[in-house]
Amino acid sequence: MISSIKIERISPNSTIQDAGRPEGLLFGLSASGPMDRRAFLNTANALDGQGSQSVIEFTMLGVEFTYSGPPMECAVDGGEFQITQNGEVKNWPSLLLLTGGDRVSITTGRAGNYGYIRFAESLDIPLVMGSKSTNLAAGVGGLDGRALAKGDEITFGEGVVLRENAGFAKPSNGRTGNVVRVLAGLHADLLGPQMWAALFEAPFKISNSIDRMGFRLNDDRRRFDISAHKNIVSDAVVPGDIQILGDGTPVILMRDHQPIGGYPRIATIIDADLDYVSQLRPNTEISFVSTTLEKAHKAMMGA
Amino acid sequence: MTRQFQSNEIISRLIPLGDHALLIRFGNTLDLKTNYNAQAFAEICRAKLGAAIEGCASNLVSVIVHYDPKKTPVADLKNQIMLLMSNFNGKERIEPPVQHVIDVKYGGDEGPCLAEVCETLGVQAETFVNNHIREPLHALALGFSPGFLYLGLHDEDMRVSRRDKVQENVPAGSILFAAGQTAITSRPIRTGWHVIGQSNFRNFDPTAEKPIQVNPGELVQFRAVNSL
Repeated sequence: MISSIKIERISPNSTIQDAGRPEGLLFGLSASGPMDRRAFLNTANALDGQGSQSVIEFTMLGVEFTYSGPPMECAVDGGEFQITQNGEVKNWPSLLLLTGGDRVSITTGRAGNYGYIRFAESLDIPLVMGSKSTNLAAGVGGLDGRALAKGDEITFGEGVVLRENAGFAKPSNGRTGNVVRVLAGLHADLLGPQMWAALFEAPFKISNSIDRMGFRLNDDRRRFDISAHKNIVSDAVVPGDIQILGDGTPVILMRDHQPIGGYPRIATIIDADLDYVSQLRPNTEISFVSTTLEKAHKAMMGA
Repeated sequence: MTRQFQSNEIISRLIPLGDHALLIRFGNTLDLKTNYNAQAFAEICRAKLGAAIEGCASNLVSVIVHYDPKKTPVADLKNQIMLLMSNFNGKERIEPPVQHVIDVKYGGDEGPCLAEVCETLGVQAETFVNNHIREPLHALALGFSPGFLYLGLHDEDMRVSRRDKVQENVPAGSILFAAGQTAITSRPIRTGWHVIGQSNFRNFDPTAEKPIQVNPGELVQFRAVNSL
């Protein structure tokens, strides 16, 4: 008997994700992968590493699905969402035992932009360039490169053991409040000491324009002016880069970032803090503090 | 043996990019020699660094090397890359044959920025198009979006800055122009480049065995299909 889920309701821009597609770099495609890798990994740990490699990443309004098939476990985590199974309130995060006919409803909660559902058995989704991750901007991966939609049915293949992947971040250490640690960006020297200092002088706010490509920030002070740097040579971009657009708007580049960009990057958010940033909702304040590469690596190792 | 770099130079060219990547930069301005060096050095890194890195690609003037700090301490990786750089003599530029001919419809609704570009350069549209197609262009890098192809370089008399305002939903196959380069989109994107024409060419098919048709290092010749 083939087991499956049917999507009854889903928040816009929700996608299938796995650990990502590093090979895509050779084709001008960013690696994608989960916005909050810690939550993504927590769902794997909840299933003792025996679950599907690919997951459903849903956005702020959550998801509702019905399950058919023999009993199967699934783990949910990420942000602070609310969840019911057949109308009964469950904890968040949770490990659920699904039986045929079950209806699971996840709705927005107190905090967070991204949540994850990992099933014990693998999602029957084709691999594209070695990965099931969806890159919406590129129209690649997942279900025909698109966001998940009401009415979608996803069947399950055989259960698979997760590949050993040491690339996941542990809970970030040493960060306090909404203060996020950064390293100097590729163009920090070019933009000069005044703009570098301005980055730290007051908080920004997360704007309403947030997605897997990037989070735009609101800057009431309009502290950045890149009019003298419109013709810099386009160069490599990494997740966490803080890019300044032509009108001075800062953008934090996320998992579906463009691999090469022509706007200057003033700073790069350290890996250990990027999961946290991905869960900051619009209108939340965010401040930056400078750190070193050595401290960034220590924070990532959980030291 | 003449060495491409002095050791003090090498350090200044090796730049951390976040905490999972290093950038090896061969220059701050884009020219063909710098671009060739980046392509050649990326091949060397892929061949020699193997399991120590997570991935590597050439950009317009640099090479990005991705690493996992848990597997490879950054100090070790820096040493390995500096050793490769000290033995790197740069790539002899070998002119490849033209492998790709792309037909372009210049201007009109699908090339809305052509008039503005011509005004900035002080030339008639016909002159601009003739200049644009007068020589084959080198594929310099892939990036920005899947299959997005950077081509160049145009002569000094063909250089304009990027636009101040970003255009949304620029369709696939659009011919973009800025900063001495021409680019071709293979997916709808938002861009600050000038949109000067449209082609049927798509440089990205994720279902194909080789998702990319034009790779860095190859030559592309444009052909105008309309008269202005």
